[in-house]
Amino acid sequence: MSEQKVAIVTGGTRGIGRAVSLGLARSGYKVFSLYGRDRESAEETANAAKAEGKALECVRGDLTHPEKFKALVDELKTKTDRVDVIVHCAASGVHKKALELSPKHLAWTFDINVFAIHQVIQQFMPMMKPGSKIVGVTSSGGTRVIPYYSAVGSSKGALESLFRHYASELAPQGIAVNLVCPGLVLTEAVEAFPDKESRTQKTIDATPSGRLTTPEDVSQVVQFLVSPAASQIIGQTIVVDGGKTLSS
Amino acid sequence: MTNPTTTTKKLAIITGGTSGIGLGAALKLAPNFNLVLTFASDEAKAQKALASIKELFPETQVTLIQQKLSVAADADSLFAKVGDLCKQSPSVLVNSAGRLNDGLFLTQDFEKFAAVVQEHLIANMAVTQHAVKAMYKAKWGRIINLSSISANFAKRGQANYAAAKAGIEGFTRTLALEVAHRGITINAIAPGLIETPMTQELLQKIDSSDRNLKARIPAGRPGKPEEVGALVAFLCSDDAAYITGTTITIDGGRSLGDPES
Repeated sequence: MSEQKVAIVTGGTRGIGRAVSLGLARSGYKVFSLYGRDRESAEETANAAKAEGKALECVRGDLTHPEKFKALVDELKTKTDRVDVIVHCAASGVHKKALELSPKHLAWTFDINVFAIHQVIQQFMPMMKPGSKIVGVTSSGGTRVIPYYSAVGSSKGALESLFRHYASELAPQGIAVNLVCPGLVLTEAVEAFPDKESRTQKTIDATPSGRLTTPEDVSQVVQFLVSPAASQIIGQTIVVDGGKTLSS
Repeated sequence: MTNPTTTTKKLAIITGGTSGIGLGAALKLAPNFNLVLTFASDEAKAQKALASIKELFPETQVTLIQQKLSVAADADSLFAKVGDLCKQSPSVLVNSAGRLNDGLFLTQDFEKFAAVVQEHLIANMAVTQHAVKAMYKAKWGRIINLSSISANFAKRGQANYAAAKAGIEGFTRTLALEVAHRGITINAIAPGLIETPMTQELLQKIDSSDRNLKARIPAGRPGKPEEVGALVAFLCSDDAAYITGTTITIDGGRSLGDPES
């Protein structure tokens, strides 16, 4: 087995995923940053790591397409014989009111946000040894109402529950499963909100720390969760939102 | 909804029962229970509450007891008076006495801070201990504690109130576990913004500001004391015999999230 620890980061080339990927690379992991479509962002991420002399490889694949998913897994298995960390940053969704969501919208959102990581964990579990870590990224929409967020919110609720069950089942094997729950992070995903600008200002106004959450804020907490110091934290959701959700 | 069908109505003690949510509970329990309503100081208001209940439910025995409930020893005085004035021991206890005294933790006089915790948590527990002993013998009882959505959602200036109410929820869960086998249920209710004398000032502030809190409540309005009273009445009924140790939120959806932001 190779010496260097290996991390797989889904949605690892943009937004929070990019910060997490670069953070893990700087911590000494060989990082595979998975991405779906955006080659440009992948190149930027790879170049940023290269400039610092860190081991980071962007791998393209579709986590929701059965054959392409298999091809991606096969490719990764040729590149590594160990997996120490999996971070699920890939997420997508349709921004609509619940009543306006078609079953297809909802299924597509769940495909990437929930089912994809379920399959990734199942595929790589045989390569994960005691001390390995799995981290999911959820949002306050998993437990709270956010306008136009019914699809993503419900998928995040499902993700949190799925991860609690994984956490309980994998803890005896020495594998810790947890989630981070960032506040509003200005990523490209936010550009899709129909009410982006008013929401951003309202969020800042309602956040005790007085600012939005950054990808680096999230990445630093992920670094802690994958460290040996956090080994007894099992099945928890760590909120990283500047205190936004303290108030009703 | 079925209710205890004994020939004599059972006795319900409602602390703070002449005002706000306590009075709302009294009006909803009056058809099925005899009532003891405690009040701290406002005799005229208490008499008015008594008259309003008697007008609607002339058959119901209603006893007013003036008793401040600020510290644990006040519970002893209350139950001495209940023993003197009532032939029955209590089957229902609704702990709704309590006032606000908001202030930033950093600057509030600690005595004032502690008094809120004493009143909402310690005095409540002391009253409950008296009542639960009677219920334990009778093998039937209902205890309703008033929590608040402030127990779980922070509001500046309410460290005292939030600490007390979070304590109430923990107390409720634990006592439920200890007495469930005797047919006693104990639950908490967490109201959001209800139109009561306690929130009058706050409601006026909201009306005159541009914060428009009402728009943040999905139901579009503050709640009424009788609406909380109806939940109290349900939890006191036989239909709710299997609900214990839980906190039920009644807030028009306010704590679900930010429907606006």
